[in-house]
Amino acid sequence: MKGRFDACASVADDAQLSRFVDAIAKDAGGVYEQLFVEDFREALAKRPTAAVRDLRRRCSADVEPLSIGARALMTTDLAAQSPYARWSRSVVYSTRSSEGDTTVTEPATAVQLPRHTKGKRPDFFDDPAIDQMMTFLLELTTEVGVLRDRLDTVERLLDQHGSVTRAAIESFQPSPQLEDERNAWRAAYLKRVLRMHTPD
Amino acid sequence: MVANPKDIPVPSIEELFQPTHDERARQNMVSMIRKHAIIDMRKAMKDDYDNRVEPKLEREGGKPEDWAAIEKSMEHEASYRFYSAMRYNAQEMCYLSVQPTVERALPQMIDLARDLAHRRPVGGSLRLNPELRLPKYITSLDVHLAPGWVHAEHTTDDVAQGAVVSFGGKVFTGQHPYRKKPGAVGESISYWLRRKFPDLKPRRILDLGTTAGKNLFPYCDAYPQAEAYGIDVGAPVLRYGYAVAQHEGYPVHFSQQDAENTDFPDGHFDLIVSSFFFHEVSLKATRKILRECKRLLAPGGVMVHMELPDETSVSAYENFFWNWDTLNNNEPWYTSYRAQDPLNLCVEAGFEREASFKLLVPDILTFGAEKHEKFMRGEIASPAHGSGGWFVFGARKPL
Repeated sequence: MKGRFDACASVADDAQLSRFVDAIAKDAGGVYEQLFVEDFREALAKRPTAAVRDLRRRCSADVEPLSIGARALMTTDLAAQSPYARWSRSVVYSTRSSEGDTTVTEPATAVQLPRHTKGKRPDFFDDPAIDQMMTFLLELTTEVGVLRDRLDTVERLLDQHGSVTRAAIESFQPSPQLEDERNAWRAAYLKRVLRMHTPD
Repeated sequence: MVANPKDIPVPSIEELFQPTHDERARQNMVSMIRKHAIIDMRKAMKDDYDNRVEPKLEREGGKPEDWAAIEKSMEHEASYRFYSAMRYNAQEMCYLSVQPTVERALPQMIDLARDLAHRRPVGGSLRLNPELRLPKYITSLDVHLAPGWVHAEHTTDDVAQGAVVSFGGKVFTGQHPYRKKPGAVGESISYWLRRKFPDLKPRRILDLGTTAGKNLFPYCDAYPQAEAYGIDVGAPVLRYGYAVAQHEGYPVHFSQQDAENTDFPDGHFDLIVSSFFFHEVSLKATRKILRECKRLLAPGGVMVHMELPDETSVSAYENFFWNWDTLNNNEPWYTSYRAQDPLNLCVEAGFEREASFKLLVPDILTFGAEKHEKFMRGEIASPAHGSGGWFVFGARKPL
């Protein structure tokens, strides 16, 4: 949470916030709750004075609406004041825009991991098309296994509850015994599908 | 105020990996395809060689004498081709099957890893070196067909490759009869080590090419008084490993370093270990790293490395089987590494031949304590490497 709300304007005064933190500290049982309380107290201690806050509020009202760049600059500037700036729960990306280098602070967006391997791919067959076909075949074999698991989950949910929802399928947790059963099915299934010809 | 940090349960970065129903089904299916390739198809190929290919060549007066001749005799046989195609595809699919789950969990994983590296709830440290020049043998191809291997960074403070390699590894070994648990190697070797060198009381332990530290943690259990250090060239695996170690309660010191040339002082360690490491670095690097081990070990210190059995330790057929990975699993140093006698490598690095060793150590999880005692007394042998045993080599520095 650190840094996330640094740029937010707060209408509560210091005494109100202080009472609020004392109240949540009483109920904070878990690790993260306790850490949160600590962070909150720290942030409160470092809070700019009411006069500075008021000045900032009036300044920001004048430049409404903020451009993305200005908002980013403001966020990074304020976040940098936090001793935990490096660990703030947002990821800083360096991007190159038409105006040159700008640093934009934004929530971590999806990273697409590379799906291709660096290095020469060997051919095991005289015709590389067969190597490609083997990839198709094994991927398809896998997908049939996935469908079979899903069907098995649906059947079990119907047995238990008489109805099924997508959410119930998603949250279905197979027991270790069921996982053993499924593995036995998978092994037998592969033995059938990947049956080798007897060599001459 | 938070109470004693030791009492705080540290969140698990591994628990952030939450596959959907179908992703989990896919990962489990891939584990079984991998098992089918490495166990069933491997046996089918061996049977085909023993029962058909070799007798035929023998009748024709040309029985293959070494692994290269066996490879030549097999490469056009259907058993070899389909075994190879299944192994290659299964290997790729191990990593492909976990990538979507990792992508989804990544922002949270990065958050938690940063947080733990900052707070260090159970101690230890994470020291990264953005200036480190990655060795060419790391950057020029993706070892083990894992896109990005241990080193690629896709965003700031990235841990993705740590998660991909770690969870891809779990899919890889998911149905393997002798690799049911991550860290099985470290557990087996530390178990043996305590019995082999009962006087060894390491103050500091170093794990080379530690990845996310899974095979280092069992040494922390075996020698709880020792400080544990893990080095790797890949930053994402170290960030990830540090978070895992914090959750599991191991105050490991991870640092991003090239094992050829570390910044530790002379004689800093009493125990240096590695698992599945040397065959993945160049032969030149292997020699330099072993010399570095000599420098880093204190008098009386021991190094023990789990590695592939060398060529002279197994049959011609097994050499053919093991060397497959050289070109087909992006491990170009595999064959040339295995062609060296590890005892000679130790001697070249400055260790005494009499104080050097190579042997098979039983996998303790499948072998059991009772049989292990008999093994230590020399009454029974260890199973073969990868089939219930682990090949190790190493040396002890004189006092």
